[in-house]
Amino acid sequence: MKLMKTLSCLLILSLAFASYAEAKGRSFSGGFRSQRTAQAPQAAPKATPAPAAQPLNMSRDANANAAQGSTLKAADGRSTSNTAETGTGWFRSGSTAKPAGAAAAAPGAAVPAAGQAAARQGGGLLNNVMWFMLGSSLASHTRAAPAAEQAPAGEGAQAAAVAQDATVAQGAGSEALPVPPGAPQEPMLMSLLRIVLWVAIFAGIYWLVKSVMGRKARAEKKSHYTFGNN
Amino acid sequence: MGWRETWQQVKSAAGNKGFLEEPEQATGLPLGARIGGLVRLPKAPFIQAISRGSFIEMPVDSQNIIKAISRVDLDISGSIYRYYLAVGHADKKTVFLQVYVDAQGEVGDIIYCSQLTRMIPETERDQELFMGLLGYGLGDKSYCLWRDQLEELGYGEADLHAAFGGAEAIEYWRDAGDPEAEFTPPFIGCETRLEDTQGILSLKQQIYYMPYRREIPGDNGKLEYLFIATEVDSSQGGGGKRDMQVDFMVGIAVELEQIAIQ
Repeated sequence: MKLMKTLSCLLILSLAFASYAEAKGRSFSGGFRSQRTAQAPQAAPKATPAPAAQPLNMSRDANANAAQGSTLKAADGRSTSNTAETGTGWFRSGSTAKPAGAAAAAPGAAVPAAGQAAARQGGGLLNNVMWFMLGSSLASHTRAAPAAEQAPAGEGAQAAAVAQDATVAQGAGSEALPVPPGAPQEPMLMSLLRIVLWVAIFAGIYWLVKSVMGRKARAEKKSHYTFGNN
Repeated sequence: MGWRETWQQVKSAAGNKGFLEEPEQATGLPLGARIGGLVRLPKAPFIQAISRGSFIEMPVDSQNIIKAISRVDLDISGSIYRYYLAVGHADKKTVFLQVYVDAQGEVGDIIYCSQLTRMIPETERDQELFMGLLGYGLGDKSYCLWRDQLEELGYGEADLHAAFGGAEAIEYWRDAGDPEAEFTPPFIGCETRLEDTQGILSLKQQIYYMPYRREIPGDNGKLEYLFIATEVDSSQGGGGKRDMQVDFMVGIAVELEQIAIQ
C-alpha cells in the first residue's frame, strides 16, 4: 500500500514536471508574432514602435548580400531567357562559332581561327609553328598599337592610316589575346621560345641551302670525275 | 639529384598531403584576440542598461578570460567571431563577445552577449518553427518576452519592474531584412568553435540565427539585442526530429574604443 502511494506520488510529480517543461517550451515558441496573432490574438502586447536606429552592420551586410543574390538571380533568369532565345538562332546547329557578321567585324580574330582549322585539318608541325609565329607577331603588333594611336594628328594621312590600322588591330587583338593593364608584356618563356624557333628556322633554311648546294657541287664533281674517267 | 633535393621533394610532397601541417591556431583575429587573452570591458554602460531594465548580465572579473573562440559562417561578405568568456558547460550560462568584421577587415559591431535562457524544442513543429522552415516563426517581424517567463527564469520583482514597468510583455523587433515584411528567413550558417590553444576542433554546429532588438527605455536610445540562435548538431542528417537547442542571448553593443584584449 505504501509502495503504491509512493509510486503514485512520483507519477504525479513527474507528470507535473513534464507538463511544466512543455508549457515553458511552448510559451517561448509563442513569443513569435505569427504565433501570438494566430493562437491568442488577445495575448498580443501593446503595440510598441520598432526602434528607429540603424540595424547592425552585420544585418546590413546580410541585407545587401540578400539583395545582391536576388539581383543575380534575376540577371540569371534574364540571361537564361536570352540563351533560350539565342538557342533558337546561333546555337541551333550546335555550333559554338560566332556568326559571320561578328567574325567579319573582327578580322584579326578570324586569322587564328583559320589557323586552328588548318591545324585541325592535319597541317602538321610546320603549320603549327607558322601559325604560332603569325599569332605572336600579330600580338606584338597589337601591343605596339597604342604608341601609334598617340601620334600627333598633324603628321599627315599616313599617321592617321597607321592609327586607324592599329585601332582595328587592337580591337581584334583584344579579343584574340587580352593583355591586362600593368601586366608584363610577354612571359620570358614565350620570348625565349620565339627566339629558339627563329633560330631553328634560320638554321633549317641554312641547312637546306647548304645541303642543296653541297649536293649540286657533289654532282658536278661526280660528273666531272665521271667525265674524266670517260 | 642530390640528397638535399631529394629531401626537399619528399618534404614538399608530405606537406602537400597534410602530414607536416602545424596545428591550426587562432591567429590574426580581430582585436588581437587569442584563447587565454584577457578582455577588459567598461562597466558603466552595463550598469546603466541594467538599471533601465536590460536583461544583460553584468560582466564579472571572474569571466574576463577568453575560453574559446568561434567563427560563425553566414551568408554575408564579412565575418563573425565569438570570443567566449563562458562556454555554457555544466549549467553555466554562455557569455561571449560577438565581433563582426566587414569584407575590408574593419571591425563593424562588437556586442557583449549573455545567455538569457536555453530551451529544447520538443516537438517537430516547434523545431521547424525555431528554424523558420514553416515560413513563420524564427524570422517573424517581432518577438515577445512575457513577464511570467522572466519570473520563471528567476528575475526578481525589482528587475522585472525595471524592465516591464506595468506591462505584461516587451517586444523585440527584427534587426534584419525589410522592416515591413512579416517574415524574413533566418540566417543559416555554421559555427566552428575551438576551445584550446592547439586549435583542436571542439564543436561544430549548424545555426539558424535571427537578431532582434528593442530600445532600452530612458537610456538615450541605446539598444538591447535579443539573438535567437537555433543550434543543430551538424553530425546528424536527414529529416524528422533533430538534436537541437535554442539559445536566447541578450546583447549590448560596446564601442571599439572601450574594449581592450591583452
